[in-house]
Amino acid sequence: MKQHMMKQLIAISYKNNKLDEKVVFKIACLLLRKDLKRYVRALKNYEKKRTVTVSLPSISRELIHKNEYLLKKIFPKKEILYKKDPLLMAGVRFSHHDTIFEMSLRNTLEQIAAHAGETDR
Amino acid sequence: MITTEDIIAKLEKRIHSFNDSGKKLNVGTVMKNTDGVITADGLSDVAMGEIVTFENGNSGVVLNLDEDTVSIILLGSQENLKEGNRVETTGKLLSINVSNEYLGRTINPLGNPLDGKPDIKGEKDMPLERIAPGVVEREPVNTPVKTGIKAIDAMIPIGRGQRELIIGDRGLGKTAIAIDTIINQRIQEKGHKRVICIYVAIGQKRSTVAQIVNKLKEEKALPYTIIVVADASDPASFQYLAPYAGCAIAEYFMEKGEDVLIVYDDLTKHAWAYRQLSLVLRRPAGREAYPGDVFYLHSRLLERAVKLNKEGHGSITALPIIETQAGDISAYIPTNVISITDGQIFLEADLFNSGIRPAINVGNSVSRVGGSAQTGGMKSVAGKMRLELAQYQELAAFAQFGSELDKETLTRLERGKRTIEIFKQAQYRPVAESLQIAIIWTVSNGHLDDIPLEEIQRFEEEFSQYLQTRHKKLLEDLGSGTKLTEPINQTMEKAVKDFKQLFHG
Ligand SMILES: Nc1ncnc2c1ncn2[C@@H]1O[C@H](COP(=O)(O)OP(=O)(O)O)[C@@H](O)[C@H]1O
Ligand SMILES: [Mg+2]
Repeated sequence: MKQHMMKQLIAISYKNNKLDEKVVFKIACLLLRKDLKRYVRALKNYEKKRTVTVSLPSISRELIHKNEYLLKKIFPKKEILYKKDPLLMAGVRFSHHDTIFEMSLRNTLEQIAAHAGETDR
Repeated sequence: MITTEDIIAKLEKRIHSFNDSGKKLNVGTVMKNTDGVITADGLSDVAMGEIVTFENGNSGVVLNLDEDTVSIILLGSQENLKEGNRVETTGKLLSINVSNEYLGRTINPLGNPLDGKPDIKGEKDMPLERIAPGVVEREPVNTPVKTGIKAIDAMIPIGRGQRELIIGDRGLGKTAIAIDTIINQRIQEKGHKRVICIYVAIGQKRSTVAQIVNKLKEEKALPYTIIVVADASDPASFQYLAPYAGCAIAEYFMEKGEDVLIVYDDLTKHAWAYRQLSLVLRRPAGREAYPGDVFYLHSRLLERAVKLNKEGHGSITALPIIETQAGDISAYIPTNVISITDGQIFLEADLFNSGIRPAINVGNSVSRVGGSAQTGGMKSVAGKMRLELAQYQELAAFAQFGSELDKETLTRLERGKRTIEIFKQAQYRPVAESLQIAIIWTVSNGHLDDIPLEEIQRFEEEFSQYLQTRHKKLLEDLGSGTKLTEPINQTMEKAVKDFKQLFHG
């Protein structure tokens, strides 16, 4: 199957910016195993591209509410997904498609440590 | 004046800037692994040639960028690498951490030791791929790399910064020439600037490489030599990277002002490894199934051989080796490499089998830098001898038909035969330049005309010993690098005459 056909399949799998379960299963039934694998991967990729995952050490409704307006402005047209990651010390991580941006205390400490190591030499 | 407050303020500012600068990562996922070539998706920010790291701690180099996938060649074992594993970019290009401690070591293309000795501490990161110096940074070739092989030093001289191809079928002594040249660099003549040697073994049998390393050790050539090995059992990616790693090491030493000699043994196998990688990467195949950019593969490597013109800067001399099939130099890879080198040493099976070893076909071999890479002394004797040899080869062809030959022709034929005889040379027996000049002087001045052909080699050997014990001063003059003067010629004449009496008596 050609790449552009795959893209068309992905396009028709969504209705009103939501994955349409019925369409997806119909497509899945029609595809060969090999193409199905590609389809699943393409769906995953598409999902990754249209969502921004915000990881936080703890999540509260209050916090989400406070930042909602700002995030919508930075990432227009993207779904925003919140994820809890207790390993993140006093920080936040944004993941969108294949790019990860992380700001955390741990990160800062690591950078300072690296910097100190450099000046030591 | 800087106050404590200033310093603290500066530090605080620094901490703020740390807070601002979060960590940005670009990641991808492993889709499949075909023979050590990984296909991954994501990684939209990755650059060609960039290093990436895998979840299992392995690393790889990006070799292909496609619309939504990236091809990566693995630099470690494939163990524990699974579909779905995470890959991260590093922002670094592939490099090797070089230092002086590399001398005497046998390593793989990543700089890891293969000789069972401890790890090597690096000093400077040298990129494997680098743009070759431009025209303005280059200086014309003017100093020889003395190979110690009479036929080469006299007729096909190699200059520092030159690229001289050694080409011929299998088993004709290509490796032997390269190794002899490395061994000869142990010489410590007056005014001789040392040459650091790098031997890159690509796709050879492990046992062959071990023999070579042993020989170099035996001949005390290891202290100034580095051996880079990607043998036949290593993945194609290692064989592909080996020459670039060798070149990166050479550049490290060149930048320190050293003269470096690098042998690529051999580029035919290098091209095979690249073809294998390209087929796995599904690049379109062209002539002889090589990918279209196989020419660029070797040209960008050999262009890095250079003599820098900046004060105190060194040079890289490259001796690429190409193995032909049945002497066919018109095949794809041989023609490519011939066109990007400054000359070639052409070895021939007929010569090898008839006992002329090294089996160099002098007529077909050239060095485009010619006499400018010869010392004055060698130039004084080589020109005349070359001319005579060329005449002999023409005459010899005619003489097969004619029966009656005049006396002069006969003399020329006999002299030609003797000249060829003195260019025979055993393996691992490099000859100092002064002795080379002495024997060439002797033959081209007719002093060997009355010595039977079978005794020429014995004559040469004993004459060399005679000169070394009785005529140290003469040898010094011959090897001084200056043109032969009349007094030197006279001393030479006397020495030969004296020795001949001993030889006959
Ligand atoms: N000058 C020489 N005199 C005698 N034998 C030689 C000489 N040069 C090479 N040989 C022999 O020829 C054989 C092939 O040499 P090698 O250098 O391995 O060839 P290649 O690298 O072209 O395959 C070896 O056995 C080697 O000992
Ligand atoms: Mg060989």
